[in-house]
Amino acid sequence: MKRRRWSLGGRLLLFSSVLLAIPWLGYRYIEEMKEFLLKGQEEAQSLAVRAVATVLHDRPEWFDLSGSMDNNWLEQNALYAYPIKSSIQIDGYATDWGKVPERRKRFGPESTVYTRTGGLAASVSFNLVLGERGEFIYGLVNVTDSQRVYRHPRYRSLDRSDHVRLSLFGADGEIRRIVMVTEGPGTVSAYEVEPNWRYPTTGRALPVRGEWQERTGSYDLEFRFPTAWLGYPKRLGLSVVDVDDPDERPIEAVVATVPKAWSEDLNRLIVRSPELERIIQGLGRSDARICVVDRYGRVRAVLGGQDFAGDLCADTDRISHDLLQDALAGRQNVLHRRDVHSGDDLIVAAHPIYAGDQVMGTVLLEKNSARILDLQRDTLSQVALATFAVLMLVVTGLLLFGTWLAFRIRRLRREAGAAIDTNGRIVKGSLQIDQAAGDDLGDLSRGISGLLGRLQRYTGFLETVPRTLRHEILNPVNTISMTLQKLTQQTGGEDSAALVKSAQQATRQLELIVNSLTEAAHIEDALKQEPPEVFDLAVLVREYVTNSAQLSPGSNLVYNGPPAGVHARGSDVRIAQLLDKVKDNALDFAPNGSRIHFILNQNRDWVNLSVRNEGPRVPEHVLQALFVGMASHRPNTEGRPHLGIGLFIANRIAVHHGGRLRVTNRRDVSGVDVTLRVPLTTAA
Amino acid sequence: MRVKTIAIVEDDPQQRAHYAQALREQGYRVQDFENRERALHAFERALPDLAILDIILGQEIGGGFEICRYLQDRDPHVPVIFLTSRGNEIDKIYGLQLGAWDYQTKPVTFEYLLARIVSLFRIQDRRNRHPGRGELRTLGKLELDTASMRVCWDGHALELTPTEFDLLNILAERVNGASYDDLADATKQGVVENNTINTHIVHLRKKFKDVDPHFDCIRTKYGYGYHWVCR
Repeated sequence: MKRRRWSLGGRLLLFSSVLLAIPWLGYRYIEEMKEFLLKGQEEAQSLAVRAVATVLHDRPEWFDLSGSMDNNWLEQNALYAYPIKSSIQIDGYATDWGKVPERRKRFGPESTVYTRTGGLAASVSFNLVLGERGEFIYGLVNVTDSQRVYRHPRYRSLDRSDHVRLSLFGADGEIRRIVMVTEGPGTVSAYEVEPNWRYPTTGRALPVRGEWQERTGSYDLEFRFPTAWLGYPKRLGLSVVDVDDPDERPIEAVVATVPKAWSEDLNRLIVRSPELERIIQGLGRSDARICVVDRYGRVRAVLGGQDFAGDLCADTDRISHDLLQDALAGRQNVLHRRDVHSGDDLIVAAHPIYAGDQVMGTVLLEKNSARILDLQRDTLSQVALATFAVLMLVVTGLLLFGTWLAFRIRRLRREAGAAIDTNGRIVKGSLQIDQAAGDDLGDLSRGISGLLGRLQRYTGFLETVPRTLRHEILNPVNTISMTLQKLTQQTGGEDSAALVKSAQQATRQLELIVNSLTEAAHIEDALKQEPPEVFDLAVLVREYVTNSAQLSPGSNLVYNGPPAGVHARGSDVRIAQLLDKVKDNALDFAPNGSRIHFILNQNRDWVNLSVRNEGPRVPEHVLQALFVGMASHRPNTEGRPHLGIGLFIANRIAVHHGGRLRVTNRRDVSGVDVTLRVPLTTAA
Repeated sequence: MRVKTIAIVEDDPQQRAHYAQALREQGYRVQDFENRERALHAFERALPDLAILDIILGQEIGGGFEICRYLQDRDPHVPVIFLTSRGNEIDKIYGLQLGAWDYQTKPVTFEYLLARIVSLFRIQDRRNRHPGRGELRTLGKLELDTASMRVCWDGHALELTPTEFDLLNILAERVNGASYDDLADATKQGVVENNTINTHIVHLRKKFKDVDPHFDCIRTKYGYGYHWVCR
């Protein structure tokens, strides 16, 4: 089965992709922040709009509404004078009116007041738009009239030609009637006339400026008159009179801004309230627009908001909006809308204005939230940039780190691989690379190094075997061959029984060699098969010393330690075997008659058993190799082969018991101290 | 009395010939085989009275065990002597519980091998006939019949191998405990390591404990040997 190979770098990259969640988190955070800021702005706007509304409470005079709250036709169809931003040239052209002419209203058959034939279809209709700027009210009338009949000087009566009538409540409370008439295209003349609209009350023309321009099938009349002429409340009516027969000159039709049913009355004229605007002037800002509307939704004051072209209450006469409906119903409300021109998001807050318990109007506060959104955009791009930079940095760092690690691992692998040649022979017993490194790879390198060292010693042991064996085996073999030779010759007086005995001894020696080799080779397996049990080490050593002394009377063995109660876990006979090896070793080196001490003591976790003998010291370089095996350094003693396996086996037994064996040179006298250290166990 | 047939399965021709000739000189009929296949082929026709098996037969590491298993299936009373070259194979012999009669570690002196063969035939005869009464030793609950190699503990008969019997016998004999040297001599084998003795003692204790869980008469005498303490 082929396993997919994942390099370290690849894995690191994979894990580092988790970092991609950071920009997303940042984005979420910024979104939340935006929501929070918008909420804050809404709150602020709500408070501001409430404050404005509170100022305007209980001041009905600023709205100059008629007393009754009925939605009569006149209130609903009031004329509205749009504020005009640029100065107006009275020339009969609408070019300087800006966008205001788009708001013109059409008055046609439904507004017909009179026709000569008595039918409804009038021969004339008109569009009207009113504006106000400074101290004047401006008007722009576009009359559709196929047949123009201008005034003829012959007639004194003013109703013998096409003309436009104005009626208004004067400041003195009386109705004033004004006729605008001309003898041809150009400047018109205005006269105040009697109630029959025929003759001027005085011969003087009024200071009403007006220009009449001919178009195909129609004519335009642009005019203005002082706002001061209007009384309180402001009322204004306008009608267009059509004369088609240039000879007889009878009035063909009259179309008015007020239909016939209300013809006795005048339209309300709504003009923005300078008082209101003055009061709220201090509140206006370029990024916020305050807008006051009356209860019919007509805009009565507008302030600020130059920064945006919001069309909620600019350039309009009334607002029909859900928001306004809510505010007019006495509820405060906030909504978001989009500026159709700039695409900016706007927040609109509304609050009703009361007079007593009646709703007089509404204050609207419209504010551009673009600044918040700009802030959000900026922050977002900054966060995105910063995150990207950090991500790049981290990924690069991880990649470099991964590559570095991979390089080190490969280098280590190469060196470790080179330490053993193709035949499995150890070339180097230790590694150089990363030996001093404090990280895991350093540990690995040191681990491999230690492993190689141990392996090298073991290989060394294996390589020594044939040499040592050759030396040890040759002796008995030599004896046997000599004996056999003598037996065949049977010369001399030598007893054949003695020869056979010598041959047998040599054979026995060979057997001993083979046995100890077998023992060393299989010690690990044998140890594993023996089930561990708890035994008293003090009793064991004490008895061992006593019994050994009994077995070999010449030796001088001494036990120093507690009589009983030191428990260890493992195999008692194996420990006895270990003691055999250590004791034999000590006996071989100790001078005759000197004492060999067996010292047992324990601390909290460990038991220490030292076997001390006097005798030659062990050279320092040999101490390391003592447990390797085939490392015999004892003086040649008679009879027994010395393969140096004893301490090797003893060490294996110690390690198997979870402890270790240590050989040190004594400090007090020349001699050696072999210490077994095994874990202490509580009695079973 | 019928001439006993002894089968030898040994892959080393020199050793095989040596043993075969020596046994023939002792008056036994000897069949010798160099591998498992040939031995089993011959055993199909007739079983030997005793088999001497080498454990490692050429490339077959456990060839001797296989033959032993076959013999046990055919007749559990055929005595088997394993010849081993490795001390640690003793555990395998016991572990497999093939009912092996005994084993000898190589090199085996012919003298010892012959003694083993004689005692095994004696045990076999005892099983076949009524047990004869030899020298009877009684130590507390222990009864030892050296002539028929019979052992009883508290009235229960124990099945011991000849080596185990010899070890037990020397333990019972030595009042102050038997040293490793005594025990090694008792096995009548060549060089015997202390560990081999230890292994035998472990198995001996186990056989006693099988019939008496509280058995604790064989004590270890550290640095010396073992001691039979129930006197």
